[in-house]
Amino acid sequence: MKKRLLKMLLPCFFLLLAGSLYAQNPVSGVVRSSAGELLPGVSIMVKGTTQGVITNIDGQYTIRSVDPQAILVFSFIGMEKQEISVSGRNTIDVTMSPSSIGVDEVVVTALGLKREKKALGYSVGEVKGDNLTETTQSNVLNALQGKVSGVKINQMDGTTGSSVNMIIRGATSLNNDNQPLFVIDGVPVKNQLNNYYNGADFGNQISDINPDDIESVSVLKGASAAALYGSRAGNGVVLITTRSGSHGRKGIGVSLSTTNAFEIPYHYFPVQFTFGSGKAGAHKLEEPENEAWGAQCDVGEMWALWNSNGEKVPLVSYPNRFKDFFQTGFTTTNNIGVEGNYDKGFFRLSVGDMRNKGIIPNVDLNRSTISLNSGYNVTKRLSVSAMFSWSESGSGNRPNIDGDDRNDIVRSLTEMGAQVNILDLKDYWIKGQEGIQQLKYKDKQNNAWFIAHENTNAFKRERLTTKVQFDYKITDDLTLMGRFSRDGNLENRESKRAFSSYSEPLGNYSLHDIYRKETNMELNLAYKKDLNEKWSLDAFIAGNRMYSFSKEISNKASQLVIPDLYTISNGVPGTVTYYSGWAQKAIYSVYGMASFGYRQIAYLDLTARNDWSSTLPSENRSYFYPSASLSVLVSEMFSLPQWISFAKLRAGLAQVGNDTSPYSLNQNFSISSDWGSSKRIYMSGGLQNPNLVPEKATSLEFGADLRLLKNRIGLEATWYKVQNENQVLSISIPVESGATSKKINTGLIESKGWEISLNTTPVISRKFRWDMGINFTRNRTWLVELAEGMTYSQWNETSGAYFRTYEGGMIGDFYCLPMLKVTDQTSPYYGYPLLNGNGQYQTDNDANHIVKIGNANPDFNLGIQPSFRYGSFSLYANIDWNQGGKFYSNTMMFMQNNGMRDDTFSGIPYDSNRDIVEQIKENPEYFFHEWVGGRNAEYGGFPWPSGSGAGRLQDACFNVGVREVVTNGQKSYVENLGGTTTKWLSPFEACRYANRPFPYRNTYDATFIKLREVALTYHVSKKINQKFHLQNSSISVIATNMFEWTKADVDIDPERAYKPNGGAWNNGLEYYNTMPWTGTLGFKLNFEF
Amino acid sequence: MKTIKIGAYILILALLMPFVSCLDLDEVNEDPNNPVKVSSNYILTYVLSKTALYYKALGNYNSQIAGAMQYIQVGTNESSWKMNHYNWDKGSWDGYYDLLRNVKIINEYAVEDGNPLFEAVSLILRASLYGIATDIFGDIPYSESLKAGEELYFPKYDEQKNIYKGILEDLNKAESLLALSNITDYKITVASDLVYGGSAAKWRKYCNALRLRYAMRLYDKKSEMTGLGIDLVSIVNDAANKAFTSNDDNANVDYIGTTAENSHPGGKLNSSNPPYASKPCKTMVDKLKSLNDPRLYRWLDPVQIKWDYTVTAKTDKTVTNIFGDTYTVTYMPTKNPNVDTSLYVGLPMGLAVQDAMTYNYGDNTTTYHSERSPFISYMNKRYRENTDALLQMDLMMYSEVEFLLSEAALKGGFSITGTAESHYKKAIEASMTRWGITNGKNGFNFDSYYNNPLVSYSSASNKLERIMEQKWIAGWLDVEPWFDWRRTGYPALKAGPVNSYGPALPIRMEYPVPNSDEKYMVNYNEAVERLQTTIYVPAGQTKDHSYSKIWVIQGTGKPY
Repeated sequence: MKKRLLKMLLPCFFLLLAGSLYAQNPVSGVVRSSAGELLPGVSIMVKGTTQGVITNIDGQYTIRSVDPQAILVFSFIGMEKQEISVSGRNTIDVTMSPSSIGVDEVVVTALGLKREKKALGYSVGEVKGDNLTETTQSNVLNALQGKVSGVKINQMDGTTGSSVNMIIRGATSLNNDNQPLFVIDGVPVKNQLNNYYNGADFGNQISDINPDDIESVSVLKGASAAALYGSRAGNGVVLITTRSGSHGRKGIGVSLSTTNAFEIPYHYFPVQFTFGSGKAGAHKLEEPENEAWGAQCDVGEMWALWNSNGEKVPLVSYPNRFKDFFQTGFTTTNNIGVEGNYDKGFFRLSVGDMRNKGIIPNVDLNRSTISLNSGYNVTKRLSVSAMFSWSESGSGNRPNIDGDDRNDIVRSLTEMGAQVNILDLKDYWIKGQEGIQQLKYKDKQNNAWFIAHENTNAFKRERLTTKVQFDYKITDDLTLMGRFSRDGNLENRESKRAFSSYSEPLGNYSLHDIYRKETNMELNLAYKKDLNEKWSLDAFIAGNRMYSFSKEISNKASQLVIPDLYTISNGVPGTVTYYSGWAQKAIYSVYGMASFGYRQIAYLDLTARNDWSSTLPSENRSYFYPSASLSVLVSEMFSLPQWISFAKLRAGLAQVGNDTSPYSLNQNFSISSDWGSSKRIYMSGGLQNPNLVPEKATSLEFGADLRLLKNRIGLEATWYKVQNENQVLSISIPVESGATSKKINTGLIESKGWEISLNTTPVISRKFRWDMGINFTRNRTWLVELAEGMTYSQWNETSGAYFRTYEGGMIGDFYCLPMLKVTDQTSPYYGYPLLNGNGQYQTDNDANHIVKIGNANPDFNLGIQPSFRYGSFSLYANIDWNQGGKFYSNTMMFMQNNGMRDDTFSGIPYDSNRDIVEQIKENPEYFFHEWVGGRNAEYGGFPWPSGSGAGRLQDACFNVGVREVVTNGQKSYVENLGGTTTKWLSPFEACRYANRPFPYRNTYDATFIKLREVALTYHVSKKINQKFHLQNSSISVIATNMFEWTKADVDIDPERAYKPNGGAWNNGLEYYNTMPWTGTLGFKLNFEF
Repeated sequence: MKTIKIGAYILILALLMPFVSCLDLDEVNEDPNNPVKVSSNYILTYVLSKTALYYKALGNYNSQIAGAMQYIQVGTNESSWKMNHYNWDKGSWDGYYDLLRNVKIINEYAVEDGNPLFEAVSLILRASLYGIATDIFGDIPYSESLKAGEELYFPKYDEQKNIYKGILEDLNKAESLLALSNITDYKITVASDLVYGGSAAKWRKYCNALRLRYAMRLYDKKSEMTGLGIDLVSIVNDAANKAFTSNDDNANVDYIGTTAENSHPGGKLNSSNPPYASKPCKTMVDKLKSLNDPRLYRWLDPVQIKWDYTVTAKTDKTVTNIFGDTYTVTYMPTKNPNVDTSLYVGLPMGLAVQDAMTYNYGDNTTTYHSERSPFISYMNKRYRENTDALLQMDLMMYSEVEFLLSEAALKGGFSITGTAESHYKKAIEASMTRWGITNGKNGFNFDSYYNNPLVSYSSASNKLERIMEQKWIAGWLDVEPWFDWRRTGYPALKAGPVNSYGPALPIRMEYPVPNSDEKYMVNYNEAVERLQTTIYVPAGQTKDHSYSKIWVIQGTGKPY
């Protein structure tokens, strides 16, 4: 293959030379706009060469010598490109007219078919490569945020390189990650959301792609668009077309770009620095505690501290903890592309390199890519093309982001005492015990520096995506295409835990290697013909064989013998565990399409596909699904008012089938870890189902595309409805039934939504142009019918918040149990909280009383991308607005519980000059569910009754309500309103019982607005470019995520309200996802030779 | 050019090849990683290891039952709501039903293969797992449980009497299988039987010990059980001579200490810090001190700072217990009459958090972390180990059998060999042996211990109370004493000054969060309806509460 490539490349150099040999007459002229204005800066190129000039301030141009047969290409931003044959003339004056937006645009559709947009009966979202690289993002998915309607993209965590969730038209599957199928140049590539290992998120595999290599991205949103991909397209398809060199100008071109960006933490989760560690109360500093209910800092109190050798020293706070720990991150991205295009073929070779240093010390991410894309026309009829793309992504350390784990740096930092100076912990080993004992100020947490430097989670992922393809024109109308593609990657994960780690006192070491590959072999026979003046036909029939294989090996030494020696064989005998396993899957498919066009007025597409999947029982293995879509160009049929330049109505109806994961049919035993030297084997609670049938998604969509006011406004609107039937779902069932989950075919899940995209050019003048893209997305998904005999499905339960959906309910709902209140209507305390004997709020534990407290899904998303160009300057911005939805913050629950926020100094405000009982009785609702009191007298604490609370400050507090007492077998209520019958609590307890059991107290609105991207670019003028023999060059200042507004205003980014849960991520649940908010600021240089 | 062209055609042909060569899709979908059928030996190891872990965890030092039984209190906020104040967490039966699923497989394989040994063992395990679940919760899914394979996902909750009936029937059947003359022809691999190394004879003893346990548990419900065809008297009479006869018969599993799972929960593999918060409860400590009970030194360490009326200055002394364990204790002079000057100090039951944290502080002005008060005893050092010779996971001990026989003999109506006192005495001796305390060693003399009027049977005015009190001591950090207290009211434990629902101890665990499916809720609500509320269940609260009475104590007036 190498030799052949050389043979392809060589002619290209000769062609380049040949291009410069022709040259004869001068040509000059004037370029005007249709309004008659002179147009400066219009580019005039001699087609097929690198020769070109631009018009001067008076719109004039001169080309010294041109072949009389040459074709001149006139182009100017916002104007229709024109090709004019010189035909021996010396003067050519040109009038340019404003360009129409997209009417004759060609988009990439399923199977890489390039189709005229007007012929499509369904919505395809398209983003050009330039729009992906305005600012430089490490993951291409981040670059898509807000740019396509109907698509929601969230970064799961605040750190560079964390996984990014992409949901098209709402999450419709209840048990998988809902990620779309990614296809790069016809090669399906692996991506998944769950890249979670030992608490660290290693990022999506799709981030292996170098965004700079992308020519365009097409998002096939509905089943109509994606039906040809069959089973795997249930969540939509993202088609990535890489730069190939085939569309560029003839000859060799070289492009260079370099981006250097700083990642600046600008907002730290605010915790209080007024009170130190402890939970006993402000009379006592207790450094071993995670809670911050201890002694008050900076008021002259003297306490013995962890590093004061028993001496009492003044208690002072160190409020710069986060700033002292986090650092400015830095990312440098460099890309070189060499491309060539000539009659016989094309190629593009690119090398990319990205290196990131994180905001957490010792955290990094890097990626190197090399890709080659080439094609060669062997004969007039036969062309071959090949693509090789290699990448190596990796990191020496990805941060642990699992709030349940004491290796979570954010949690370690957050749960530090205000009195601790984090810089004192920076040398994180105890002197003389390096490698054996970390320096900590308390037992209950790891030293954050120690985690960052010693308890690392590394990975390396090598990926090779390859494709070989031939296209043979049997006749002018009939083409045979064959393609072999393969995407494989090997990921090595490695986790180290040093001696003296919390919960791993002897450290541990684990390795996890995952190899995955997928091959596809495809044959496609296509027929394309204008049948007569009225009718045209575009059809094909194809077959595909998909085979995927994965293999995993993991080893873990759960305790180590020699410190700081990370090999599995260093494990303490009996503590080493092994796992290995592999899986495979195959699907055979036959599919075809026929597209009929009538007079360029109406187009009808029909597709059909049949799959045979290895994962289904043989009797249900084969499944067929059709699609039909219609596009009618109303503006061609009727004479519409002049302000409507173009109008199209479209409709699509499609069905997609789906299989399931391998080995879902038969019940198998699982092998457990050994008990000493005895083997343990068990039957797990997962009930398989030998009678699974294929899933079936039926999608209906209607849409309209309009171009108004001479194409100044382009509007695309789509309404869709997707009905998912027979979805294979692993539903949890009560364990007492003998199983904990069962694979079932569900009843019906229905999604409905709107997506609208608006592209306008509000202002256009000679020097100034304002473009604006707006994308609106709204989706709702209902669980219409679950399965015979089942009425709800639950995904998670955290701290009393139940994430579940009932039949008839919406996906994303969550529930909790209410507070127990007095139910006796005759009682004067009817409606008062009924406290337990300790005077604490209690939950109404009746499972029949569960109440819904929110839904994680937004009302809508709006992405706005304004761009302005003035002369040589352009400004681009990307704004993302998420409206509505709720999330439960387990962080906020713990922040309250741990006394970490300013608002835990006092309970609910009251008038300390008046009797508290009176105040509560006057306005009970104000006090119910709250705690009353404070950390000391100054903060509203009450005096302890005599005989209790010896040695404490004045910090007696209480929960508001009544308690039951029993006298002579009769129950009656006593007031717990701050009077003599009150059960007094410490501030910690009073706050805990008012908050912790009641998730609704920590449920927030998820509305936010983010300024995701800003880029200010200076496009170097043609003159200067020519001086340096450049085709094009620009310099940009770029910024990402520089601004965020949240409605909840609790300093938590609602976008990060995701929590990993087994193989899935639960939306609407946030736990210690409080990495500092960061923005990046950098500059980018682009050169094209 | 020609060669390229030919090459291209070869490529086309090569690409077409795979379409001709097909994979067998059924073969592709055969799971290469997990077996379809395995020997019951491996499943048995899984079940036994987990059963022991779950059973031990129920009553262990960090459990709410250990708090209620006044073995342990916590000296901090952490878990004080449940350990000290009876605001109990909901229970969980996930583990039991997970094991029951596997026990069912062992049972089915044994029946298929005609293996009476595995069948008997599966019946014993089934009885003990359903047993523990119903002991804790009351009515549970039983007859319709474990039928998910038959698409029965929402089993009904059976009435508790029928569950106990089933348990005793299973045990009776297991006894008859193990009594087969050819039972030794059937083998369980020695290494896979973590409890008895494959000994059918020992399983038979365990089976009969369980029959005694459950028959006596139902003693107050004798007539109702007779109505169901279960004759408790004949079960006791039959089992009495076939159960454990020494500590060698004990049903237990050892900790191995190589992984977190197979190690003692207080050990370093499971817990980064020592169980500082767990304080011995004053009730237990004072009882052991008053009896001059040597088990005290097996279980507890002395205080780090001892208040002392005799020393005049702070003095470090070396203290040695009867087993030769030495400790450095600081003797602190004080005149304060309100301090506990003992070497072994327990934390009183149910103090308010703010008072528990400063208990026995006396004149102290030094600040100590709440959990690390030097004025209260700590758990013995062995509770910090991953594995220790005395820390087995006990499923049932010989002493319990003797206590059961003693109780039966006391109550009368059974034909028990030996007197109530002889069994009582043997029971105490068995417990001492279990904790490595031998008559004549370490200066321990059993008779002088026994002759203490607070110990001896003869000097007790309430014999049942005396038996149950010693059974409570012998059941240190086990769950059984809670069940015994519940059905007899002994030992007469009193709630502390602060409690969540009233001055009484909890009598059941709340059901796990029920599945919210309507069909499930019908069953659940029915079971909750059958619970009998007590005055301690808050008004308006569900009867699925830790203060509701389950059938076994309904109408008995016990424990209150």
